[in-house]
Amino acid sequence: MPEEKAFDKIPLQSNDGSIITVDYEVAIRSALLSTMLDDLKSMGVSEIGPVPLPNVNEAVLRKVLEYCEYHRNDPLTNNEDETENRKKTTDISEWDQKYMQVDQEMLFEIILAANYMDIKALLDVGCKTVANMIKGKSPEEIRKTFNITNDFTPEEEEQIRRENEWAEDR
Amino acid sequence: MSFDRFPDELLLAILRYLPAVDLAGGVQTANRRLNRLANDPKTWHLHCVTGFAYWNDSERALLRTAAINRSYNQPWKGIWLRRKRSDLVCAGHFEQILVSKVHRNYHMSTICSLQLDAKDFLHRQYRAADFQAFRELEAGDRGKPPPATAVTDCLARRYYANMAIGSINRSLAVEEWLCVRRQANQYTRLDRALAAFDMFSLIDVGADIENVAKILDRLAYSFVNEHRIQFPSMTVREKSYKLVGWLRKNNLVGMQNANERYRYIRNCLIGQALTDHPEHPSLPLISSAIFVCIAQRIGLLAYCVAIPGHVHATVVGMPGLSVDGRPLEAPAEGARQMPQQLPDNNSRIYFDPYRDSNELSLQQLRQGLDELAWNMAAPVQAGTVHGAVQVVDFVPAGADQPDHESASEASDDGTEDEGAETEDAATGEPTSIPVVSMVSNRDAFLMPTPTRAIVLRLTLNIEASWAFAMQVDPERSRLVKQLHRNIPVIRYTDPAQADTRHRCGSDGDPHADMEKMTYASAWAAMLMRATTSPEWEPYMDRLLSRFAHEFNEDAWIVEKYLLPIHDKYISDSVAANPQGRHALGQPIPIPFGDPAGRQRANAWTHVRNLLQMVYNVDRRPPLVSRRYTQDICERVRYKVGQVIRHSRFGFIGIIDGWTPEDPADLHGTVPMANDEAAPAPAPGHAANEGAAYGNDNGHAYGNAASPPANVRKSAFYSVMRTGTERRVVAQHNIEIVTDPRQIPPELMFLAGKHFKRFDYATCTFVSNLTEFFPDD
Repeated sequence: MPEEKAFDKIPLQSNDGSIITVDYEVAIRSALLSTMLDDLKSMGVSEIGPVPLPNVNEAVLRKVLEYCEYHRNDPLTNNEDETENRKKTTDISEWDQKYMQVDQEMLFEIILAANYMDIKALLDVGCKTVANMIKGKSPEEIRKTFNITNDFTPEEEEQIRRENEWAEDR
Repeated sequence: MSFDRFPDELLLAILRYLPAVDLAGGVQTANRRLNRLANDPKTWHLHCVTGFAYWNDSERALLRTAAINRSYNQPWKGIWLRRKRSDLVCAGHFEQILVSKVHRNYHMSTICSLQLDAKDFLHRQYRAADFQAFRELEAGDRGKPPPATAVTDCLARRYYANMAIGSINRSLAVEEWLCVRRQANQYTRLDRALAAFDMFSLIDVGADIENVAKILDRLAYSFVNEHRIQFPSMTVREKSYKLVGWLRKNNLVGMQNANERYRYIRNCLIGQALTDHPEHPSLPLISSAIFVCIAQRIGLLAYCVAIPGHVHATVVGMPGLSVDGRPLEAPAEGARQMPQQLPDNNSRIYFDPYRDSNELSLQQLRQGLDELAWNMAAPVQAGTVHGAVQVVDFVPAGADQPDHESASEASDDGTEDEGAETEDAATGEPTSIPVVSMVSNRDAFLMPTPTRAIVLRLTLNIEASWAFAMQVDPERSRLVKQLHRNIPVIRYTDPAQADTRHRCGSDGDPHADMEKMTYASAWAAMLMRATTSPEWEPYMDRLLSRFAHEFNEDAWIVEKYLLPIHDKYISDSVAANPQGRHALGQPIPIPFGDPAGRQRANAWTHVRNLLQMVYNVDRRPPLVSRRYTQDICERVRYKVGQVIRHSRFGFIGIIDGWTPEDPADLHGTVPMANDEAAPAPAPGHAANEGAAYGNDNGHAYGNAASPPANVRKSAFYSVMRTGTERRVVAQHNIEIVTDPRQIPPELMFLAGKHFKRFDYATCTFVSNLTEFFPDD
């Protein structure tokens, strides 16, 4: 496949100007890049300059590419319907769990970047990680975890609690 | 990037991963924004769909609309909360069922009245894994913790969950039959009314009424799809031919190897015929019904025709047209007065999808009826229609020679009775026609048969299967096993299986399944008959005795659905017959007539009394047997929960009660809820040794009128076993079994009635009878 040879290495440019060059297989983990490269290929372009990613800074981009590098040989799934099934499980593989051990700000940045670059698997892992941080927590614990302020009056809070009650012990 | 600046869209994606309990709990109370996002109806729709498989009618309709329109603006969260709350109600009552015998029936009824709302909860209980088994089996493995569903009383949970699911399914079947009863002589709901029988046997996720209807929809769709090019231009006759041929080609009708299999009970079940078996064997009735139901779905006017001997199917041309689409000649004058005489003008065609794909002419059918009438003339004229019950009993005897003809004749057990029903249906009058008139009125048998009569016909087939099974194989195992060909029994030893491949409701006990099917036929036979039918009372008797002996958990169904009909029957009879005589000249034993009849009526046929009896038993506190004295401790050597083999008969059983001395005590003390409901055990009722010392079946002492004095001192045990009622076994006939592999899986399931779990190390069952035997 001669065209693919042309896209052997892909240079990516973060919003703070640094350029990181990755293998083609790594780049196409991102559906955004994959579609773009396909388009270029069909237009007969064989050489490309740095691809700008204006929503991603260098630190986040490196982190995201680390994920793509590790998962470069995974089968690519683009099946939308499958998401409904995957929603059920919050299992995260061991490597992914370690990978996600970052501060909260970075975690959100990764999710945003994964969403922007359309890396489905990474988006899933990110969302699951945050969901696991919420699971089983009381409202107060959730507020503390994410540093959010309670904008309910005590009466409102009590009312919501009552409306959603299905057991005495909750 | 802070949480506040994180976009809604992605936050919503995160919340989708959360269990519903978190969404309804902590998340939405955290702040306004999270509250708004946590109430996203689409997310809640997803939780409804994935969290619950069974829905009551109205909500099922909402779900269907949502799936079609992809709009989720229903209050899904409220619906989810409602289901969650009823789960909790169930859980509360279910714990009570497990803990104590007292009010068990009451708690059972409360759960069951929730019907489909309770089923998801019960299925979870049914799948309960054994905590201990997990610890032992998995310990060496990976130290995997037991799943959250693991419990220490899994046998009891499975048993009672299964019982409740069974009762709920039966109530759904009864509701379906009540619809048919109300619609009187209509031809609709045939598929559902027949699928209701499936509800009694398999408590399977796959074969319920809804699913049978869905499968038929699918088949109709694929038939039309395969023939979509020619289909619009085909005449009624062509479509019918194509459909019969298609069904036969796909093996969906008929039966291979009918000589051997004709009377297998599974052949009576439309759901079984459509799902489980690659050959889809079914009786002529079911085969015709499958044809008719699909034909109706593709727009044909198709009906079952209950011709004596063999149920056929007919397709009628569109109004005013023949089956070939030509205009019909105007009916001759006088034809109106004689509706029995069918014009031979191609207005209808007949098929026998069970046998082949050719149509049958009116002439052929009439000829068949004539022959049948002459063959039957002798026995039939001797007996009245009332003798149909006996007919059911004796006909299968003729099926001894296993050739097809006799087998298919056996399907006709209640022929004359059927005739009567068909006639009922046609004229709307509850009269029975004398057999002589059958020849002149033979075309009446070629008219479409209402759903009600088809269901009745199926009950006769079930009874014939039962009689045949009893005759061929009194243990009923071989024939009934066919029902379970593809259904794995949950093995106690394999907890993983309990989570995955299980098919609920099948306890794998052929005896129990046969009982369920005869029970189903008793219900259907009742509900399809008018209270004025002379058959009403014998069938009522039969139904109630089954209910009292084996299906006490259905008390709520009897009260809710049968009682109103029964009350009307009583008040009607009183009003119509102040002298206590029935309109048809039959004496009615309720509540008038001779004293014996009245007594019987009070005991058995009066539904209210019977219900009261069941409720009284349910309230009765347990009688405690303790090992107070040294003497008792010494004489009663074995304990509740030990697995035994009868030293002479070899069966395996579990001790579930004992008495130091008098085996008669065991009747009162052993908490057999079902047995207890019987007002008094009939003399031959307990084939128990020791129950009657002189009983031939009371093997322990042969025919000796009274046992030697020293034997009398020995202890007796009541033993739970499969296939028959519990037995009383004398201590000296007991051999203790220590190898768990010898316990049949059916018994393992049954054990849940009185035991919490099985302990592998000691090969004993952990007692759930401490109310009765606190020291064991």
